[in-house]
This record gives sequence, C-alpha cells and structure tokens, in this order.
Amino acid sequence: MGKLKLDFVTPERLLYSKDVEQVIVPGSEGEFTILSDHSPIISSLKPGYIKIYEDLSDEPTIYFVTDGFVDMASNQLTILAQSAIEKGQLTAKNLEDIVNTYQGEADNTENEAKKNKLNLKIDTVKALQVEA
Amino acid sequence: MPNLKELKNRQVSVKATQKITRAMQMVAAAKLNKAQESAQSARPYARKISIVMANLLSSMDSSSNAPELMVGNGKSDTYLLVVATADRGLCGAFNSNIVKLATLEINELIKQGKQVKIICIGKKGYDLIRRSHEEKIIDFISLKEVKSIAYSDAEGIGNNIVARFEQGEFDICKLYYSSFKSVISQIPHAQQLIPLPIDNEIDGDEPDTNSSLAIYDYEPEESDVMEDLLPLNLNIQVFQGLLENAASEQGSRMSAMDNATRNAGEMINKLTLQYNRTRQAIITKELIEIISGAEAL
Repeated sequence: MGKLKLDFVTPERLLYSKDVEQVIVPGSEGEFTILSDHSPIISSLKPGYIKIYEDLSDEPTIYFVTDGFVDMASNQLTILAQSAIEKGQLTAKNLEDIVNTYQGEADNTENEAKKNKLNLKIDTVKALQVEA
Repeated sequence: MPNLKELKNRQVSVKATQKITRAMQMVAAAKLNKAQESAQSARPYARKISIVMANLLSSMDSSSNAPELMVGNGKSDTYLLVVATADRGLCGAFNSNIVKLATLEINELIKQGKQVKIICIGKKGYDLIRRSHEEKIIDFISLKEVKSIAYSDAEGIGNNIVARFEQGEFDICKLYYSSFKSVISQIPHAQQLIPLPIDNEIDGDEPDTNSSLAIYDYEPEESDVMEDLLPLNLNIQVFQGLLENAASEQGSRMSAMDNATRNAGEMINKLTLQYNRTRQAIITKELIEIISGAEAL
C-alpha cells in the first residue's frame, strides 16, 4: 500500500516526520483514519490519541494530544498539535492538569459558545481518565 | 605629571569592568545557544501553519463572509502596534533599533491622521516609547520573570490582542520584533497580524501548486475551523516573534559585550603603558635630583 508523508509538530518542536501507512486521529467530529491519497481535509482535533502506523503490521506509535488541527493535501499530512505527550509518559496527573486548565478557562470566559466547547473538551478528557 | 596612585586605581577599575563584560558575554553565549535552538525548533510549526493558512486562503472563495480576523474589518483608522523588546539593557542597539522602527511608523501614522495604540512587551522598549508617546500605550507586558519563553506566554498575549480586536479597539495590528539572522546580524522587523497579509511569505518553502488548488473538506464547518485556526495562527506568529526576539537579544548582547571586553583590553594596555612610563620618569627625576645634589657638594 502507498505511504503518505506525515509531519507532526507542536509549537515547541517537530515531533515526527516520516513516511507512514496509516494515521488515526481524534477529529472533533469523531475519530477517523487517514490512508494515502486521502482527499484534502482540514479538521480540528479533540483531546485524544493519535495512532501512527508506520507499517500496518507493526504496533502503532501513540501520542496523546490536547488540541490542534490536521491538514491533509496531496499525500502530505500535517498534524498541528498544541501539546503532545507520548502515551507511555502520560500520567493521571497530566490529564488532571489539563482538565483543570480547561476548567479555569471555562470559568473565566463570558462567551457561551466558547464555554460549551471547553466543557465538551473537559468531558472528553474525563472520559479518557476513566479509560486510563 | 599624573599621580601614580590614580593611574593604578583606574587600571584596577577597568580590569573589574572587563571581568564583568567577559562574564556577561559568556552567559549570553550560553543563553544564545538555548534561545537559538528553541527559535529553530519552533520554525517548523510556524512554517506549517502558514502553509495551511496559505492553502486555505487560496482555496477559499473571496466571499464576503470571511472572518474579520483574516480580512480585517474594512477600516484602517486605528492601528495597534505591538512592540516587543527585551527586559534588560546592555545588549547593544537591539532595543533602540526596534523602537526606532516602531517610532518611524508611529510618526508616519500620526501624520496620516490615524489613531495609534501601542502594546509594549519588555521593559526597555516601554521606557523608550514612554518618553514620547506615553498616552498611546494601552498595555505593558513584562516577560522578566519568564526564563525561557513557552507557548503559553505567547498565547496570553495573542488572546489579549484578539479580545481587543473583537471589542473593536483597533482595525489593523502590527508586531515589531527583531528577527534573528545570525549572531552579528539581527534585523528589526514589522509583521502585520490583522488582517492577515495575503502574500503570505513562507521563507523559501512555497506550498506546491497541487495542494493550494485543492478543495478542502472541513470538519466541522469551515467557519468553525476558521474560528479556531485564525487565533491560533496569530498566537503562533507572536510566539515565533518572541522566540526570534529572545535569540536576537542574546546575540546582540554577546557581540556588544565582546566589543566591550576588547575595548577594555585596549584601555588596560594604554593605562599600563602610561603607568610604567610615569614610574620610570619619577625614578629618573629622583636620580637626577640625587646626582645633582651630590655634584653641588
């Protein structure tokens, strides 16, 4: 199967830049899988796991991301994440901190739409907490 | 004839100064390494996001419902200038170069009858601008407590700018900072943040024509994505600016302190020479006195 070029970046650094076969991303409308020759798409992300399959027969590399975007165009997939933690290094404390930050932001904002969005994120992270 | 004691004192004090400048140079060199590294590692993200933005811009029909953060609100009466400088001095012309560029723009805008508002980041720029344009400064942010700039610092500043824009406080926003070219060359730079400049220069890495012509699927709606992506882009531009600024500051300080150390060295040489000559002259004079005294007997 064909490969696609993945660039996975956070504001602090370039995390991952390789040719991969398949990537599963937590889109804000639901998780979806990107294979090579995917049609052009821009999607925002919700907190969740990004699973990178360099080879479909191998175990995926998994990162936890909080926020961000994916951009797929002509076999170039770009993941722009606000923050990313490798799954092995993710602790319950991390998740709790993230919930607290969102909660703080939600308490401070007047904007209803923004508040709803943040509450949605809090719920997603809490669901992950239960899972973990 | 200069006093020997006085000369010795001056020599000692210049030596002390040289020790300080040398230490500062070494500290700046160490900090520069770190700052340069983080500026460089942040570049991929900034570049990627500008490619995504460029793709978006070209694939979007020029409809009138484009978000104001991107195309502006159609007015250009009030300008917001965000001037980012250092919190510390002793770094050559770094601060004054940025302020000079900003002041030129301020005066030009005033001449055109525009309203100008200023946000200062960093104490040195604030002190300089305050002298001439105090009433225009609406905010002052100090990053003195911040050891190395994190994304969250830029996020705070970016959100502040967006909130002010949404309240209609200004129409056009520009960021002033110094871009880091090399240790000896830092170029003060103005970057427009709002509205988004259309001819988005992406340093040498043009988006390939294939992808820029692509028609995107948006998930969720285009407007929702835009609503998130635009402030993010702005934050990233601020972040990148701050990192470049931090690296430039250290680079500038390093070369300024290197110069100072060298100048101090020259001065010490001169003073030593003068000291020795004076000492010699005094000895000669004393000898002559003794000899002519003996001859008189």
